[in-house]
Amino acid sequence: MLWLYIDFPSLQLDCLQADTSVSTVTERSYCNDQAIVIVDSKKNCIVQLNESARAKGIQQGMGLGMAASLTHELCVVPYQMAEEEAYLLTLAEQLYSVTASIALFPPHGLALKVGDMLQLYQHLTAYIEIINTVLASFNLKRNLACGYSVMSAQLLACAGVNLITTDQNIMTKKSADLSIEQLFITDKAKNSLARLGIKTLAQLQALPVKELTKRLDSNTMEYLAQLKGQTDKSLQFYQPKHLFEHSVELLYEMINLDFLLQPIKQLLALLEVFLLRRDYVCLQLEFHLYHRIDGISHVLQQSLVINSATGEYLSAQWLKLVSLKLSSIKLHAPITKVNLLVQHFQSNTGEINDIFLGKRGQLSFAQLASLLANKLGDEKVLCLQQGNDHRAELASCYRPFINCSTNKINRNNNHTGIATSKNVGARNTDSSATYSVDKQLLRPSFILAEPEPLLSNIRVLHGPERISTAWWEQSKDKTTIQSFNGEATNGNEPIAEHGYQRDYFVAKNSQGQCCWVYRELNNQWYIHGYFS
Amino acid sequence: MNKMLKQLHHQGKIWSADQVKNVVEIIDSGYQELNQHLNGGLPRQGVIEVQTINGIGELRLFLPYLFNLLQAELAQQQQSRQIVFIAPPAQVNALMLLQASIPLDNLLIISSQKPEESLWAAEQCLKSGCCFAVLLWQQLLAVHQVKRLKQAAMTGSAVQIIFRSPHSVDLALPVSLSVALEAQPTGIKVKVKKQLGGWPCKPFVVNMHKQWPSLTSATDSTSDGVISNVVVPLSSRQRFKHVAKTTDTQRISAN
Repeated sequence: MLWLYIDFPSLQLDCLQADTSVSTVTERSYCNDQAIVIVDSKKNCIVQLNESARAKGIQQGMGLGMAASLTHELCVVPYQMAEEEAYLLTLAEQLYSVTASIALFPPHGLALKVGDMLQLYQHLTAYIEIINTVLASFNLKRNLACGYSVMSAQLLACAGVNLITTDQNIMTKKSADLSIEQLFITDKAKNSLARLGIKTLAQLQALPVKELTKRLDSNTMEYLAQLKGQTDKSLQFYQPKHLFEHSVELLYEMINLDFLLQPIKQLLALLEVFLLRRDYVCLQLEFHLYHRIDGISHVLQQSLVINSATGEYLSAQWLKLVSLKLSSIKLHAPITKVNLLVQHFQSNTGEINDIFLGKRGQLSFAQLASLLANKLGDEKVLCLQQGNDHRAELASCYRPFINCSTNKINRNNNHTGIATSKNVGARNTDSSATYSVDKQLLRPSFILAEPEPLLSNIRVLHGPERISTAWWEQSKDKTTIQSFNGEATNGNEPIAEHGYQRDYFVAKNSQGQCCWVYRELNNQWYIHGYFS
Repeated sequence: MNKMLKQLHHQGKIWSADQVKNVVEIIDSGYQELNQHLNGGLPRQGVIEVQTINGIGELRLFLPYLFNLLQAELAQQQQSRQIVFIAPPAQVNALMLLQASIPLDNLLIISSQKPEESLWAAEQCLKSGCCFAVLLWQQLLAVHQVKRLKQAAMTGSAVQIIFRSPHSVDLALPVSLSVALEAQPTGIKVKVKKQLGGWPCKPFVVNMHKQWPSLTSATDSTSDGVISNVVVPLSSRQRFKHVAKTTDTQRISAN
């Protein structure tokens, strides 16, 4: 079975540079001649470095002190294996769309089972071309090598050999020259082989297996067998997750929110691809912004939740909402990392648009509402609902649009207008149920949130109409009312919220304003609304 | 045409009679008097400025118009677009809209406090193309802001109604229609301050007694003489002693 192993020797460094290359122009020009090294803090040696660092004489495996003495302008980033692994998963996710079996070799390798895929792509070069186009957008340094066992492909790729062929002879010829230092065996085994005078793989493979088993441990022998393809290595294949989680680490700490839009744009572009492939839309994005505290590089600073009333997959639409949300937040500290998490998805059912009338504006209503809600805050974009109560202030109530919008969208999608029985049931329990409208009932068009004391003269047109709290609610607050009655002279007492008995009048004041006034039991007069 | 005249014409400062054709579609306002004086009704697109105090029936004047707009929408396509209320002076009552046959599904309320937020929201709603009417309560307006709203209303084929108090600074705003309202026992007195493509007319009274018999009187007699139903809130005066000085003239208490 033919395998392809892809090794990314400087994965973390390339990610870092990819993130910054799309940043602002000023930063990029600064970044290009900046020497960046990635240092493994445990071993205190440089594991990855960029071209400008190499030009200054820094080499892989050097200590940090030596590197620092070679150049004074050195950007040092600690090596983070977790990050490389996370990025590797991203790559696997992208490759999954073109190839089936992907085995992960963390922290920076991938093995692809080519044998099966050749039936689809006919020829190896066509297959490699597809793989390369997928990886090209990431702009990573990579070594690709083929082998008839996973281990042999890995050995070649990690040794820096680029080998695309189906010819076994070329493979063996290439691998024969490799030194045993490059094998994935323990140092102890390498030492014992060196003592035998074996320096290359060819020499090792020339020896009979029986002789070797005496000198090498079982793990090493197993590895050698896997290398030859005599036994199979058990592999963990990549399975796509039903979740979208990506993060971008920033090379520069960002305090300006406009710059922050760039990495977010990247994340949204990834999300768009993710959603498009699955034909999903999502309603909510969660952004986590990280900052640095006392040397710990990524501490969660704040989370942003961005809602959309309609399912969206287009990054441009999301970006619009995100930029609105960003304009209303404040950063306490510079941001070092941005993470995007999407947990819930919906299948994309699509909107029903009349083909002849078409869309008139640029937005659908739900899009508009989410636009407004993200800028002004969810609590300010409201829809009006009827309540089942005889008291005017409870008979109509505001509700945040985002909360009741899913209901609305379902109804809009139900183009025929025939509500299913399930819908009817849902609506009865919901407070959005419609009640019969009494056309004769005189109620004001605007109701004051807090009734105001009546201060001017009025002329009564209608009334009285007594409205009192139902007995089961009144009983709770009876004591409040009584105490309120007793202290009628003391006017600063708040009005009882629940239990009351009011005589309502429709009246006009001297300015001609039509007011809805009421008299409390204790002859206090208040304005409760206006007939506009 | 001489040069200066040409320039003024180019700037849109001169209205010529042949522009009548370009004036947008008119919708029946639901009131006979209003239709008579405004060339058949209120415009379907553009910006309408209403100078009024709250609670004299200014919304009632526009409810039939909004309903007619909704009907016109429904006649053209099955689904209707939205009405948006931005920064209303108090909580909007659902019953009022339902009594005017305006379904609540077609309504969005934006309760922004800051004027600039309100203006932004109004512009977004207008140009989105999914709202047919935007009602905005806003005191201060600049010429360029109205221009932007007008442009947005054209883009989204919507109407923008702005309610302001009568004493606001009276700039010549580039609105399609500007009216000042005053309370009358029978309804509302309308003074047309500006009308695009129309002739100036004298102030007239819109009689609302037919639609709202309980809120208006049938005749024009200012029935201040009927003293039995005048309420002077004695008790609240006692409660708020600091304002008690103002109204001492008619002390006929309901108790």
